[in-house]
Amino acid sequence: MQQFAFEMRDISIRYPHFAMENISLSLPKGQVMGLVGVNGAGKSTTIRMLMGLVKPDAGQINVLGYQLPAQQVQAKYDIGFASDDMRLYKSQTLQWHMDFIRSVYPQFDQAYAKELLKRFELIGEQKIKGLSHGQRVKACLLLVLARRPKLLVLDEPTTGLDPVARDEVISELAEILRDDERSVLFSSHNTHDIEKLSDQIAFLDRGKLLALQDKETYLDSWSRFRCQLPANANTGADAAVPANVAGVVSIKRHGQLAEVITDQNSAGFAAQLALAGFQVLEQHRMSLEEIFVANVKRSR
Amino acid sequence: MHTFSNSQMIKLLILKDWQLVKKSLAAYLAGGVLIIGLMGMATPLLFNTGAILMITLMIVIGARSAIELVVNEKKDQTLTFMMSLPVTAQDYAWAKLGANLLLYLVPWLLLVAGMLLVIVSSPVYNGVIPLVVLVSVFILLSYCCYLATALLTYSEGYTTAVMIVTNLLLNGFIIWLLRMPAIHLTLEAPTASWNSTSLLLLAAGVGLTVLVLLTTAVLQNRKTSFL
Repeated sequence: MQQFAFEMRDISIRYPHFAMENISLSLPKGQVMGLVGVNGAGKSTTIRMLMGLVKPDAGQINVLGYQLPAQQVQAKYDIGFASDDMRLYKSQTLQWHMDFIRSVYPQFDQAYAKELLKRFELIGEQKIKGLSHGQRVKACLLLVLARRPKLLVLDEPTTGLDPVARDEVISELAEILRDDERSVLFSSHNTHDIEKLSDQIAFLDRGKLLALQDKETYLDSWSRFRCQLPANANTGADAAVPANVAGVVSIKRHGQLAEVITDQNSAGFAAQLALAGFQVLEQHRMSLEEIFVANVKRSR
Repeated sequence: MHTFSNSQMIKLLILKDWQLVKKSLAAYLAGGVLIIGLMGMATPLLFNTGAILMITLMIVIGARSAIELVVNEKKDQTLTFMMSLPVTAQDYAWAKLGANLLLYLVPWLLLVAGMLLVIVSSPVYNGVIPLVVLVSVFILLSYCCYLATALLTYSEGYTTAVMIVTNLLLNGFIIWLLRMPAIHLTLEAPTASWNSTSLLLLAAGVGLTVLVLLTTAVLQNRKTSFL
């Protein structure tokens, strides 16, 4: 039987201007899930429910064997959470924060914390108010990682970082995640970060789960074809849609050329296009960002 | 009601708040000692000046405590850091209530005790004792009102508004007390005169303070989420 780091079943939550309906999301233990969505898609709400901070109107949430929000205290001993809007006490040093966290979590690994200090090039005695945004993000990650949590929940940790700092954080994170066998939920609207780190992809848009799949299968299932249209093709916008070709997400026409995007890519798809009179000139693997945009556009 | 099942975490959060404000609290208490010394000079001018400074100090300590430990936690986004710890919304609320009361009540008691000690051990008329105690209790009640506002709303605007209103009421309260024959006729008495009026006012002040705190605790206990 597969063991899950977390399992959300039929979750619904309503706010005056936002709702999530019947969301079911689960992460097998030891996997890294990337939660992708534009601002306001419901990523932070999902994460807050997983942390027991917000109670859903309906549905069940189980994290590391604990029912949430009822058993959030026990669950939070094993969950490490960091988000872009998390700040530390400006007047205190990083060492003060490390001591505080150590007093809360008996499993805090001081030797690992020291190693992370070096790796992140942080100084324990430096006050938080003297740190750059990138250093603050690293400090938060250090405090979370040194507890060696079984589940790591990162809500947009790289937002607001300059490209260099973001690359540093992601590279360190990738290395750390390789070392450990922990489960990770990583939310971002930056698809490059997600693509780099995740085993699984979950797409959210306007409170709806658009997709949930392992990354490689998901990336393989999408493709973009550049085609030459038949000479007698209609010039209307919809006329180029081959009705007998299943899995077409969108078609963009440029004169006698068309760009066809599919989410059911297979050897047979190109053959179906050819049968419909589309001469395939090129086929491209799509980036997660391109898939994300195509998926969101389709759902709206 | 909440059973304090997470008492260890509540203690750690209170200790954390103490560590955050201990330096400024020590500075305020040092200022309090100076002011008490000024009042102990026992001239009407220095005593009155000291009394005004003491009222100001008590208000500043209370305001700083409510703003720094409660409102700023949300404003500075350290609340997110707290939320990630193994605590429920109720644990956090109890810790905040406990920390604030402790970090205000202890200095408040020390300052009031210091003032009373100076009054009884100097030529200052002991008849002012009921006035000093009543005004101090009013300041404590005011503090509880804006602490309750801060804890229930986390809003800087609402908390500041309650602070302004209670400070304005304090002026009116002092004038009202001084116009009461039962108070002003005994100000120059050699001993503290606790008559029925002053005792009733004291009981009302303490009762209202307890009521505000209990109401805050009940409302806090109903919170089901941090956000």
